[in-house]
Amino acid sequence: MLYYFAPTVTVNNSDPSSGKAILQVSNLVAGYQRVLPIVVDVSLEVIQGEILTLLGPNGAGKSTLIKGICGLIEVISGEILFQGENISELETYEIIERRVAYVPQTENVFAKLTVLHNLDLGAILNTQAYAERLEKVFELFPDLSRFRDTTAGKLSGGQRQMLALGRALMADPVLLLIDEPSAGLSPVLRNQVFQHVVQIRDSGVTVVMVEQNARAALSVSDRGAILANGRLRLVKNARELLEDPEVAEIYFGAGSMARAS
Amino acid sequence: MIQYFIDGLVSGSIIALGAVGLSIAYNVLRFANFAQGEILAIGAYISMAFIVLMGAGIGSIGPISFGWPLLGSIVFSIAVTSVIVLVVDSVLFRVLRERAASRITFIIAAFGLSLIIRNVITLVAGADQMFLSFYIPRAIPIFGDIKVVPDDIVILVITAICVVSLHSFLSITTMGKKMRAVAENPILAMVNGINVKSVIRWSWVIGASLSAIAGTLHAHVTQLDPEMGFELILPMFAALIVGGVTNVYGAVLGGFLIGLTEAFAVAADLSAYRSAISFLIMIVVLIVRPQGIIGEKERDD
Amino acid sequence: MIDILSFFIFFFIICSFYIISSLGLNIQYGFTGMFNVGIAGFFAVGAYTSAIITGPDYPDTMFGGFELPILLGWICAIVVSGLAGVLVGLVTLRLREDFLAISTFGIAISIQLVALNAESVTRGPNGLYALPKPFSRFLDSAFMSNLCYLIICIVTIVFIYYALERVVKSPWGRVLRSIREDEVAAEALGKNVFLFRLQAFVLGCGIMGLAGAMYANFVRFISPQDFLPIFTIQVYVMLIVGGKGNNLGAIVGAIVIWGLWSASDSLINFIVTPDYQTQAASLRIIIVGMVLVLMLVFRPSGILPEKKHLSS
Repeated sequence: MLYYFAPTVTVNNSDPSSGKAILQVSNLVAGYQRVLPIVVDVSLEVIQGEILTLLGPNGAGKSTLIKGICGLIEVISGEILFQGENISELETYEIIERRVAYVPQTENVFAKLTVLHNLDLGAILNTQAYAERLEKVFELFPDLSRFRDTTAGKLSGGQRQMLALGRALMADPVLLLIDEPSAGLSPVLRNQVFQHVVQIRDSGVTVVMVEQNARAALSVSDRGAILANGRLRLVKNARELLEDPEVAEIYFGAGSMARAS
Repeated sequence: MIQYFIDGLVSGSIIALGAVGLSIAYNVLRFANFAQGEILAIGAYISMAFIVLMGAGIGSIGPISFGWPLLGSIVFSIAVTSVIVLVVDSVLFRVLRERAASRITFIIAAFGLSLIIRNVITLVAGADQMFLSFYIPRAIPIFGDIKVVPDDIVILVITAICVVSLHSFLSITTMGKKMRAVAENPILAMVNGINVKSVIRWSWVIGASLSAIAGTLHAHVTQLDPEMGFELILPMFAALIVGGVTNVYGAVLGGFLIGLTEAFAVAADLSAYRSAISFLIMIVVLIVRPQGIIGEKERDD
Repeated sequence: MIDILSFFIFFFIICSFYIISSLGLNIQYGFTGMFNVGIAGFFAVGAYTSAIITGPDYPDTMFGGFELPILLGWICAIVVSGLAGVLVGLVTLRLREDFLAISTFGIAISIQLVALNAESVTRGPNGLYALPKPFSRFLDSAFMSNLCYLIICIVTIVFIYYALERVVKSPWGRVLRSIREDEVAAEALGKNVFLFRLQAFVLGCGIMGLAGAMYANFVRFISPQDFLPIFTIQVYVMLIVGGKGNNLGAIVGAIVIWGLWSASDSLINFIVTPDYQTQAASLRIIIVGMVLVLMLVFRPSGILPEKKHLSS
């Protein structure tokens, strides 16, 4: 196997009030085929109650990393510990059963089913306190309540994103993985989404999100992790990342930071 | 004339039940299962085996020319056919799924499988036609001049029970909801925490069960014949497409329409061409309204 | 000695019809990815066309029996099969692969039904008999006439093979392959995908029709029972085992599978008593079915995988 050899910057968990790690990724190698790993030797900790944003240029392996965590992509080697349990060999549905939720970037709602139906499905693993959770989701996303009987395919982009998040929340997750929540949305909607993410975190859910819009995402995150070429390059406090111009230069590519806002 | 209509409904029910299995395979397993007809054949022959083993014939209840023994054989057949289907899936289709084989590969495999099954039946049971019983049902007058064969009514009732049960299953039970989710979007269903492998197994079993019932009824109404699966597959596909591929109830509707069409073809003395007529209707629907009567436009995936 | 030679000549002649059909299917399925399940139908169209054109005037048919030269019969067979291909293609080629499969499957069954029922033309189940064989006037012995036929077959196969190899390497062939791999991309490049697919389809059908015609004038008697779906499946097994997308693979696959088929036939006739013949025949079909399924599972690319052409 050929690895791209470059000096890896050591992981720097510079948040002094680090709480417990809810997710521990160790030396993860993952990809669609054994001979072509996309994520290469990534080690990362996700702290309970934080918002961690994964950043990096296109093709860096950010989406692949979270897909690997929730079992959609084969783990070639390495370990993933969720709340102390090794989930790297588990099937996706088993991981979801352990209260990990994943919101894909595309095709993240059941387009032919109604909003209510979609949320219903989100709760399919655990129907206890269904009514309560539905209320909470409707509180967070009033639009969903208004459009509860509309077919998901007929919703606007922003509303669909809300539904996707809502569906994931119906399962009452402990860890929420989101793949590019702001993709394709206008700046106003984008900020709305990030505010929702904060509200979700405040209700007790740990969030890991992949984002291209680095500046906006980092402004609501606790920490940011930068991937490039499948390797983890830097993990730092979000504010420090925002203020570091060199980091922007090297890892976000020419002008992408400028375009991010 | 009424008799033709009822004949059409009866053959329509059989086609409908078979087409539902086809529809489930198409929507959940995502391929056109050319071996579905053989599943009906397996169901019929297993029923026959049970009846022969039990030695009690197919019984009779009042004016109906079959009784509890036949119903018992259907239950037995459902169990055995389901097991066979699960084994075949595990050995063949699962392997193709894991390899993410193309749709065409699945269809070719189904063709090969149907060939194998048809000839295993011939090998085991011989190439001759067989009959479940030799009792010829008599028509009973119900009012005025109209006579009806009680068997036919019972068959229609059985079909109605099956369809209603299916509906309840899909809309009320958790597994039913999971099946619909997987039919819609398998990856999102997985992400939702649904065990797709389990859903696949259930789908095969439900399709096989309905097919076992349909096959046995068909054998009762006509006869057992190793080619019966092959004879039924085209009407079943026609039913699936005319009714609407994306919708399980489309298969039911299509089944009855095709059954009636073929009955009227017989009435119009075009019996030899009746498969061709169903097929023609299917082609017309494919060109003019590919989603069928109650289906929805499909995305290409 | 002559007997063994006779047997092999006969074997290879019948094998030739399969080889030619496989080559035709290769254009449709191997190169363009079109899943035509109606091979038996087009083969039948070619056979009946040649039979009608070259056959004698039967007392009970209203049309046919023109007793024209065999070569003309074969050319007409290619044309008529090609036309049938145009008709079928116009109707079905826009459909997605599984619907294309269902449609072509139904069409083959319909063609067989027509052959069975249009008695004024095809004599229904009684079939068309006494069809002429090439050079039969000049050659007395069956052996010589078969040998002659074998030569005709080999020449035809060689011709078709080289023609198809050139076609496949040509720009037209490249477009076909690009359509097979990614139809959307091909459309985006401005290619009229439908037209290309139709051309490939018609070409394949014409070749299958030729195979049918050559079959008719060799066996000299055809009936609807000769054109059952088992033929379609046999050709598919041959192409898949041999290697789809590879013309040599089509030839090799046909020889291997026909060999397996004939060998198992002889073996079964040898071992099994006459009572069990039908069931033994089933065993033979089961074996071929298993070969297909096993091939799909373990080596889907076939014995001779598709050659990577420089341009693709």
